[in-house]
Amino acid sequence: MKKPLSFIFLFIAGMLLAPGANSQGNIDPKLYKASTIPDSLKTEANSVVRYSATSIVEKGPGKLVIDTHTIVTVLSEKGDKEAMMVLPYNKKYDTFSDIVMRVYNADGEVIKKYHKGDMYDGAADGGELVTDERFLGVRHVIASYPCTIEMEYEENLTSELDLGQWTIQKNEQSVENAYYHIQIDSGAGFRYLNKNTGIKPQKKIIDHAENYYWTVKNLKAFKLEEGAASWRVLPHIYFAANIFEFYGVRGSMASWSDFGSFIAGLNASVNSLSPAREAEIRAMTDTIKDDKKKAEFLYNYLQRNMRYVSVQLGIGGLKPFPASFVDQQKYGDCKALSNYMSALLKAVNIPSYYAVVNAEANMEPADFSFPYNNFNHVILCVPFKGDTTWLECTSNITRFGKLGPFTENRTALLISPDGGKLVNTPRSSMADNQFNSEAHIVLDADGGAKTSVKILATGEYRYDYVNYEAMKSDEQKELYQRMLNIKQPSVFEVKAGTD
Amino acid sequence: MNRFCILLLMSAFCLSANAQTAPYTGPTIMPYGKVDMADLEMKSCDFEPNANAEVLFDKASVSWGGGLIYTRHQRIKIFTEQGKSQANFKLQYISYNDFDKITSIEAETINLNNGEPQFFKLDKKDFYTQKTDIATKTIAFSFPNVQPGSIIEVKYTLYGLFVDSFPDWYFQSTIPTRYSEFKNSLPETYYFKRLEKVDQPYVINTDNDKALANIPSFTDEPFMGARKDNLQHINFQLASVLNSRQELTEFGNTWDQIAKEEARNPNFGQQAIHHLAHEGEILDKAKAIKDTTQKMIFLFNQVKNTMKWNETDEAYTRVGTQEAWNKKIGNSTEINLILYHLLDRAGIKVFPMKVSTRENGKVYPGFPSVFAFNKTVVYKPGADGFCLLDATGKYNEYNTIPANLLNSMGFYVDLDAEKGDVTFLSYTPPVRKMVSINAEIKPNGEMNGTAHINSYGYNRISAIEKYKAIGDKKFMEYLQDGDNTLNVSSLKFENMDVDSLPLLQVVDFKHTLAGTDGDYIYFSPNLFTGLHTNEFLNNSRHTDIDFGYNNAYVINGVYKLPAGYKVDALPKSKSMNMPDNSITFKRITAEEDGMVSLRFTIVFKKSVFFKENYISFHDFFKKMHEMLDEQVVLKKI
Repeated sequence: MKKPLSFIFLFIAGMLLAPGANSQGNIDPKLYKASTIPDSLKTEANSVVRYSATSIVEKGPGKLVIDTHTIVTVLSEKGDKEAMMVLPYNKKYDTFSDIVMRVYNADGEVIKKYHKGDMYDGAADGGELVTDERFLGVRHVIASYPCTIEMEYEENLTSELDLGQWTIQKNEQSVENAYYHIQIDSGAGFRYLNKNTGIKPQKKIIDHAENYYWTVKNLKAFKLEEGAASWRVLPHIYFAANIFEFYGVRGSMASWSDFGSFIAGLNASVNSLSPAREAEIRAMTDTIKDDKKKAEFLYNYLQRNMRYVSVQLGIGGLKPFPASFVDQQKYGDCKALSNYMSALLKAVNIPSYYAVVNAEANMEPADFSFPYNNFNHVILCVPFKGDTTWLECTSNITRFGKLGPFTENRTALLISPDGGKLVNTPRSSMADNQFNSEAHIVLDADGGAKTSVKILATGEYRYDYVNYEAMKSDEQKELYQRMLNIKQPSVFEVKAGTD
Repeated sequence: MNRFCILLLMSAFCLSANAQTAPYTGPTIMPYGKVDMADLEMKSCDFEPNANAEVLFDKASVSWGGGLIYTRHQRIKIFTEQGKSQANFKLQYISYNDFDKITSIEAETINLNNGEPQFFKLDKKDFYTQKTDIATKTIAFSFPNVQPGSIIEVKYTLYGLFVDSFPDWYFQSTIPTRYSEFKNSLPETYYFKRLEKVDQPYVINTDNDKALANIPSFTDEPFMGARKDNLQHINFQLASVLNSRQELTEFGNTWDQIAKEEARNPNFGQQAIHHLAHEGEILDKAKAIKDTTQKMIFLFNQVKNTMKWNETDEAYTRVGTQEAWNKKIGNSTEINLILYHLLDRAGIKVFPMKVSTRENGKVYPGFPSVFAFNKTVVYKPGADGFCLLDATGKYNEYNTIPANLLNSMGFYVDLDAEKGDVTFLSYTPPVRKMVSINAEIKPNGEMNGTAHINSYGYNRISAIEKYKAIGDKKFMEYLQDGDNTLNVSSLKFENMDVDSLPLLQVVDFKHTLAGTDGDYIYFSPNLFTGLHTNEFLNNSRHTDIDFGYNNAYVINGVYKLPAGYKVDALPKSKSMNMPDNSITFKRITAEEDGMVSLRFTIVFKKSVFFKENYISFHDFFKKMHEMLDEQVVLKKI
């Protein structure tokens, strides 16, 4: 903040913000005192955001300086995670500075301070075998409630696909004052997408830079109903611009087509097998005439030979390992396996699309009108005439052409050299997910009975039962009795049928 | 009972120390890269046929070369798709100040290809070394070309700076193991004592070389205690070092020796001496109380109610007692050393006691070890038994040993005398739960009623903890126990804040009796007992069952019949006992004046049941649950 330009910005920003607070940290001391929380904000709340100010300055495509300052009062144990600061980073492209976390008692007196040196620096572990991603973390254990946690830090990001999102409010959390500011070059094509909120920013142009200011006041807390997906209910806003730079590679997010071209560019050098291997694959399938049958044969070949291993290395975990790597090593992650399956199909002249998707049950689909990177998984789409087939390439169990709750019934971005296209993934039908049980009971005169139960399962149920088949026999029997509520029998046998 | 359990713990230790050697002619270790065709052709594990994978051999050897050299060689056979997950490897080691280093590593997949072994070696670049955090590094790698039928093998050498790096050896894992060997080639100047927890005969059993063969896979079982206690393994601990001048240094080989070290330890004994801010005010109040027990209760409650436990059990202080006291938060050792300090200053004769929680594993009296513990409590000996005080749990009581410390040993340290000893922690009186149901059955098959549930001791504590953790609504669901025909309409607690009284839950409920058809009504008297699920369905058992304490249930139900109905079938009055009377079960049923009453009494006289006697235990539980669930049938007149 040394240039005069920034200084002017700060001054104006300060005027625009609420009287109680400005962006230079002169915060109304009342906000540190738990006794000043209005009663209406305590109802159903485990924590109250007393003050939250985020300021993002875009310094160029993919380059962001983000200043964050929050004051959150934790009212009960259920809000304890607010006393945890976790900052995911990456040594090359994402660093944090000026980190401080202060803890205040109910009267607003500082009782503890944490700095960067107090933080745990660890390799991220989300079940991957290997990843480049790391995190800084510190947790304060709250001794008595209410307790107020203040966090401040600056993030310097030099690689990003979009401008991220603002999660305005969390489950069972109220918000007293929240401010968000984004400064971005006028030509950058800045846009935003509101979800579950109608708030609008104030816009100011200062020296060719667009400045957007959002303000939120006095949002009451509420509790998500059981089974509700938070993305359908809680207010949040997505931000994006046209041009980005990711791990040193330029790209455009102006349209889904453009973003697809960027991914196609990453894949271009890795999506083919050697001519010799392609010839071998053709030889494997040349007796099969029908293209769909050929694809099914190759999918089964993939399922039999390859295994899923999560290895997240290289361009932000976005570029797949080469098809030839998978061919030799016989393993890969979702990107590598989908890309390999595509290469197998290419060898027999069946076109297919690498398809990125936001996976896991009931996850938010990407929006047709708002290109943004909200993806975490890759599947494959094979466009047979009038019969588009989708393949989950990380599973050794899933049937040819079936997706399941992990990826079904949402949007996926199809990648081709001509660009990207957002399409809907199919939804499964009732017939796809059946659990049929047939019990035959023969009663004895003495009150005993012989029962035989036959279970036929498809879809997710089938998936479960295939997994139970891998269990030790005694444990499998115990599981069946418990899960199916079978009265403890004197003799119990389990036999696997044909899959 | 106490004596018996101590004997038992001792025998587990001695038994294995004298374990016999069985002749074994099966396959053992093969040199790296040499493979037996029979192993490649093998289709399943011959002693555990449905295993997804099998460790063919696993060998570690330890030698000395200016540091500790640890070489490990493992070979695993993959049988099924699910077994493939064995082929993802992560090796973690201490990298802080270069304590440990992996100096060499090689790995390969071996497949059978047209009757010939085919080798796929990992390149140097296929091993990803990663800094996990400031103290640890991880080498991660994935074996190539793994199929059902593949063999994977890895061999590495870890160089450790200190002789403390000497690892424990686990023969057993989650997949079956054909052969497992640990060889110690350190010079004899380093003497390690061993705790051997082995259930089967060794195939090699010399002082420095131990091996087992055909070791079954291990899975967790309900009420089994710590996993690491139950896996077959050897604990090693450095007992003495003889230096070049022939001087012998001994390390914590007796409890007294350990007590002396702990009393002087700056993060243990020395912490107990520190003055606490404003302690005078509290001590003055305490001193005004004449009765020693009341004085103790006062100080216990002071610490319990003002200090927050950071949910960490550690054997030593981390920030120290003074800082913990000022911040009102600390780990279990900090909080209980504070309690010790105050009790000591108030003139009550108490000792800090090092203990190990159930999850951390057992303490073996014949194997003195400072590493066995993960928590500190306060021990107050007395003429008629001792008290164990733990101020970390908000619902803990001064006269109740925390449940997760039962059936293990505690080690008290006399800080002044620098002496100490272990004592067995157990609780043998019955821990009662009384359920009394009063209900009326309507002709349409509705049952309306009230249940009074009285929980004593550990049952009281666990019910309160559960309620505080999940709240009103979830607790009512918990009482319904997944039965959607049962609806709890109101729930009231009494005595929640009075330690000395049982917790009373008054539950109003409506129950829709399934199967009611106009002619018949059926109902099961097993309501609000917490005994719906039989935890022991499995026909086999590989670990001892440890309930911690002895449960005692009395379940009383009085049901008013609907007008125009009579009893068609009433479960018979019956009783049964375990062969050694360790569990007794009694059911008394009666019918009178349009009322049916059923009374169940279940009394446990033992809290530990050995896996060797599992068959009779399993049968008893099966019958008991059948009798609890047996229905009453009413018929329209």
